[in-house]
Amino acid sequence: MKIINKITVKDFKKNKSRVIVTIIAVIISVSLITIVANMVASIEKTVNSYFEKQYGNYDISLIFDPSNKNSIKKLELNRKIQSLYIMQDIGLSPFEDSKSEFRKAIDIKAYNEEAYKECFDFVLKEGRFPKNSNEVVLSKNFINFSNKKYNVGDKITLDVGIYNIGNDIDYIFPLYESPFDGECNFVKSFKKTYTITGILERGQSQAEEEEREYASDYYDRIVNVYTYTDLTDITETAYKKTDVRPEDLSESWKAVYPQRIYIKLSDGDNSSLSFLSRLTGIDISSLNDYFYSECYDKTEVEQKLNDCEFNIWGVEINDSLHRYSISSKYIIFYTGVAVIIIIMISSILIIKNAFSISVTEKTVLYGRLATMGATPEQIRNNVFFEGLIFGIIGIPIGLIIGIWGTSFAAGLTNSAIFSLLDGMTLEIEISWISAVISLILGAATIFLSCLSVAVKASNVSPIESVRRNRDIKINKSSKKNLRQPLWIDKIFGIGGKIAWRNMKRSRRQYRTTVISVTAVVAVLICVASFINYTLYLFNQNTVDYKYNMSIDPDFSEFNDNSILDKTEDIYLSVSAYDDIDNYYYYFNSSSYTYTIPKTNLSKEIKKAQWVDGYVASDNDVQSDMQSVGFTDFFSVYAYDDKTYRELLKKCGCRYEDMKDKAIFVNSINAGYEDKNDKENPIKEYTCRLMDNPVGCTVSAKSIYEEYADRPYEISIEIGGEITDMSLLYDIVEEWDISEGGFIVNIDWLKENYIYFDLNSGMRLNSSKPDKTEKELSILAEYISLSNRSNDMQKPYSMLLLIQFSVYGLISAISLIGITNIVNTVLMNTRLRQKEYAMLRSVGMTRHEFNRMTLLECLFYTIKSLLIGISLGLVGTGIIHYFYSGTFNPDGSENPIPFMFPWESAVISAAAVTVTVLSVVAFSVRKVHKQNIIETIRNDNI
Amino acid sequence: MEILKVENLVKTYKEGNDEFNAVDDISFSVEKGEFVAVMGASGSGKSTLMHMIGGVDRPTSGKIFIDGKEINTMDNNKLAIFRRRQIGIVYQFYNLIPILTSEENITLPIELDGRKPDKDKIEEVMERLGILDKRNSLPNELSGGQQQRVAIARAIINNPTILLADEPTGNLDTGAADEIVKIFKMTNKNYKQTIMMITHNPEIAKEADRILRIKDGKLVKEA
Repeated sequence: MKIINKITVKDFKKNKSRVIVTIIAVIISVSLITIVANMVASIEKTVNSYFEKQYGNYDISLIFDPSNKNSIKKLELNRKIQSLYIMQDIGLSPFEDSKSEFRKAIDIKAYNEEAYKECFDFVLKEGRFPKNSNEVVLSKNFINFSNKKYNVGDKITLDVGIYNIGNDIDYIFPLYESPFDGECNFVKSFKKTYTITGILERGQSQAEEEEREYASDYYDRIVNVYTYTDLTDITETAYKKTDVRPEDLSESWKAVYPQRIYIKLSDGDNSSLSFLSRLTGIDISSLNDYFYSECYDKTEVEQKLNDCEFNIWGVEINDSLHRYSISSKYIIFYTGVAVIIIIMISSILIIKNAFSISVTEKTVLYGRLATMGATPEQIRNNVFFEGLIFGIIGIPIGLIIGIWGTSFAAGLTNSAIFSLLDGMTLEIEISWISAVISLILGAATIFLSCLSVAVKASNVSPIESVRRNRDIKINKSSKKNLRQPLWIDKIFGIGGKIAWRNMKRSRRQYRTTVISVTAVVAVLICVASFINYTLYLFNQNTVDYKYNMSIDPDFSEFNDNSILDKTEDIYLSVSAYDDIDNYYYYFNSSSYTYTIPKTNLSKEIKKAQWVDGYVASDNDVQSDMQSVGFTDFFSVYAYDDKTYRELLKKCGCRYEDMKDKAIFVNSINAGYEDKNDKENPIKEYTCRLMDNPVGCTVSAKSIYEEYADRPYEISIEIGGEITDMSLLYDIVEEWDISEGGFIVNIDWLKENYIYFDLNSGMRLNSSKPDKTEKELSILAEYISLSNRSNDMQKPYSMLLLIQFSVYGLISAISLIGITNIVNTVLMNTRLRQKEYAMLRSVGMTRHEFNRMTLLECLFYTIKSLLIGISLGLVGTGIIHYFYSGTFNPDGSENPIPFMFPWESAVISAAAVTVTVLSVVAFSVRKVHKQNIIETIRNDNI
Repeated sequence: MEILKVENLVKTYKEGNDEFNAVDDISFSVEKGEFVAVMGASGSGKSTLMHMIGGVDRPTSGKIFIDGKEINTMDNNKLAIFRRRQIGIVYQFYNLIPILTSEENITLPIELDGRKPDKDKIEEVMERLGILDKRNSLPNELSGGQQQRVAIARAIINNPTILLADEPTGNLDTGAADEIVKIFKMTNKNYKQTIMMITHNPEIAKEADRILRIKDGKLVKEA
């Protein structure tokens, strides 16, 4: 080993505490980087998995003639394709053992093995996926709605066929009709006995999810069973048995033709259009317009798709997956990069300080080496050698702790993420790439930390070691600065005088401590500000449900007013459940319109050029308001009795007076264009619709003329009005009342046959929402229940996750910072041993000495705190500017207030002050134990 | 043969707006094998002169030639290499590396040069200086005289062109001081080592071939 490096190693043994502290700083830095790198990879993987399960792990889906086996073979051989997943509709079967009168059929679909495992969100509760077309897995809804119990290994025999309406043989189950009532016939194609190989916990493909949005009538009537298909042999299906040829199918049926191929490209999302272009021979520009241009005539491309060798009937690009996975990837990646940069900057500042201390301690040594002929380069390389030693020891330990820390951090955050991602848990990804990145960044951190210090060390002049006057140079100008203010003398005496002058003349010695304290305080304040602003935005933008459960019926199949009574009975029975704390329900209909005569319109509404909810005529709203008046939907709302009474109270109306009268919600959103205001011409405002509505009678006409058994015209007197919507939102949710609506007694609604186009809902708060959800799981087929408690939890889980991550980061940075403060204070004390010994030798008492060191400590700590808090203030200002510019660029409506984290500032200031004082007290105790003359003499050796 | 030549050497220090010349236009030369003593009162500039000749400090103006090479124009790297190969310096306060043993201190210039020390030569030098038995001792385990001998051994191990000593006996008792002077004398006589030594002690100065007197930065008289 080179002699200089040997000296360094020996020096390490002499200064174990400094070396250990520096290595600890390296370990913390590397472990933090490792944790962040691994967490970024893990979160990215988890989020990708989540979106793949949500939207399907594929890039393109194709619908084409299943008998075209060559097409499939060609696709198999295509090198651009990573995976092929196939879905095939097998047919329908009557659900003989159904518990529910509504669940009438079994929908049998087939997937290949890869589709089950990789493409869609199929999760087995027990058993395994089917491996051939004689095996099936049963869905959860099948098990729930079947009277007969099935286990894995049992056999199930099904008549497989199709349903049609009348005499038409529809190749496909009807989407928009009610397929299973009365007019429907089941046409059997074949009988098949399947072996049950598994039962699903969860399972649905994206195709089903999309179809469900459009065909809820259908999906609410069927249960699912899944079998196997593969690309080599097209499984027998009910649809093949018909005589209908593909070209006879109407456009709307093509979308659900039984064979669909899902393609996962090896290049991923970027190449979907170019892949399709190469596959079909259609140019990319036409394909781009076909998918993304709303005005484009799609006929030509569709014809080309049909005519190409693959004979494609339908194609879809999985934009949802691409969009969410790309944007998530960027967010996660760049957040990780930002966090790592913060860690590196903090670590560099702190480790650099440690090297500075080392060099300062070894200035005399470096000077002596220089007199012996050590070149500046040799001395510089010696500092790098020190860094290398720290790296060799610290980096591997940091990596190991980082890997363990990743598991720990992932375990802690899983409960927050669990609810956030609908049952997903964080998939920990600890890869060699993360380890390599951490190693490189850790090494870079150490290198950057010692770079400037190495240069400084190499510039140590040999004469410095000879003259030994490196730290005190007092010239005429600095002499003036040494004078302390009078009050220092008066209050603190000789100790304060020396402390003040020491601080003034030895700035270099204190610089490292000042930087450490300043950095810790400033970083803590900035991070606390970031959390404050994020919290604020979350609270502003989070939907604050007043009620954690919601019941929403669908009346579209019902056309008589018995449904209103039936539904109300259900609501009332629900309200009697044990855990329901409070609730309300409502009915609403908007199947009539009415016109406010122009003479009754308010002044403010008359100047509007557009109005929310305006029932358009051939003229614009202004012309109508000037000629006739304002026409709006007669939107009536009826609530349960308790809620209705509360609403009446808000309006100052008596229940007894309001039996056949309505409360008018006299508030509307409107706007106009002010051509004189060039900067902000669009003026939007909320105003009253009518002047003096109370006492007016509103006459409304039905929008439907053809139903003779409904009243064509109805009227009601306005008994009260409310203009402030916020008063209503105190009682009901804002989507359960509209501006310009009429609040009526529920009996009036029933008496006046207002059940056409009926909407309804019940909102309830349960103290045990999950339990209530189970109890209410089967209300009625036309009613759906949603448990909002998980949704309400999500943003707060996200918040918890952010807070945990950020506070975890703060703690780690604070640990590094405080380690460094301890290091620098101890080192400064050691460097001034001789000075302290001399002061004691000339007669300074213990008490005076303690006071002097305490004052010095307070002076530079206060200085550091002032700088640190000021920097924190600047940082908060930058964060405020960034958030305002991003989330409120117009500066309008709800400007984001400036928020300085005073509590965090006080806590961080107190923490560093206590740390510094403790360390100084400790080192002063050591000084008192030293022998005066030996200390002075030892400095010469 | 001229081994050292100093021409119009000046070293100026600034104190606020004032300037003063610690070394004020000094010129002289030293022949190979000469033993020169430098005397002067405290603050006369003799140490400053010695430091500049040793390449440890830079002159404000003037030239210094050692073995024909002008050292004041060398950059720091070249000067450091020159210093470890061609110049030996002994200080009043020894300036040993506290964490190296005596032997390691002695071989320091050789190892800085990237060469392997010649064990035999080291032993010979250490024996010559009477410190062979202290080869594994740390500086704080040695007496002042022993430390100074280690410093001398370090200075002469590379057979320097010139050996500079800045009050080498200033921190030693009479007995130790005499020993050190004897060592210098012996080195000069037996090995033709050119030596330039600063001393306050006229008795020690008498041992030299020539005495340079410095007063207020100027060369006063050669004796």
